Amino acid sequence: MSLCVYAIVGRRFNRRLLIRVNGASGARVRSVNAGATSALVAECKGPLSPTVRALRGHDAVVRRIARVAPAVLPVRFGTLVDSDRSLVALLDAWSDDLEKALALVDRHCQMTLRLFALPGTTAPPAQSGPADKADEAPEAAALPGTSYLAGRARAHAVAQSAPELEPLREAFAPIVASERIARHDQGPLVLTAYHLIPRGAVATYRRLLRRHAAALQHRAVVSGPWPPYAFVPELRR
Amino acid sequence: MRRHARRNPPGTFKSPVPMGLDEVDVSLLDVIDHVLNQGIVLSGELTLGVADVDLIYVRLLALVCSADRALSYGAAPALSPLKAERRRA
Repeated sequence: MSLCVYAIVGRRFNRRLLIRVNGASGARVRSVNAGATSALVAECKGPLSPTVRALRGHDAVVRRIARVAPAVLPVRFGTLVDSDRSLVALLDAWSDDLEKALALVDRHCQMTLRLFALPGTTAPPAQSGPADKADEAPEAAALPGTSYLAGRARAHAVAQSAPELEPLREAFAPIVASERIARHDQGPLVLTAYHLIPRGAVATYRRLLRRHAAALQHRAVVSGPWPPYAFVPELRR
Repeated sequence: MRRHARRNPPGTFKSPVPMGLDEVDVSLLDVIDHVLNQGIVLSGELTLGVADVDLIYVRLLALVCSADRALSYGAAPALSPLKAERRRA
């Protein structure tokens, strides 16, 4: 028997209500505690197949967990561990990263905003700004390694930029606590923006989007609120 | 007229936290993007020891599955149920 890991939460959550949450396989969700964090797990058999039913089931369990815990870090579908002991060791090893991320998402949820190119238009590739051109001269004289790293940094900055969202920036500023951007190179989908907002601000977010959508020059599709799937720390090291 | 108490749907309950996660418009694209492509990746192996003596070998059975990886499996048996369900949908 393995343990399916659904989410990592801070120690401050309503354990009494957790007894009413079951995992996708029907087994009761329980907590595995390590320091200031807890992992919420349920027993399951073997590897999980990514069926539509299983994926929706995983999301449903994470949502139920979010109701009893103010700070939730969803764990990617299909993550199994063999024992509580293994999990505690992992949580201990990454405790600093997890605690920082939990502080960020505390009492927040995620809205996912996708921008599509309008029919008859082509999505222009993300342009580097004027500041990047100013950097070109010193870069040319730099060592190949320095030049490579500078290029990587510039590419990363472009990937994280979203000038298409400028019409929303001022309106969203009071409620968007953090933003993640994923740009898409192919197809009509131009970019996906993940916005972290207070849990009580969902209606405000949607209202502001409706008010300013006409200025976007793109078709905007929003979904949410979601548990903060896009605001988890990178733990691979 | 007799008034019936409003009951939560099976498997749900009233949230003690003002969450708003109930008002959900969830497409399959969204579920795949969030559940398979986002979220914490717990992977790796750890050996915990004291004074050069290994005490715990942490074995992770994690199937770390991203959308890219899952799709690259093509006709792999693990993905076939997903394809079948999508065809039916």
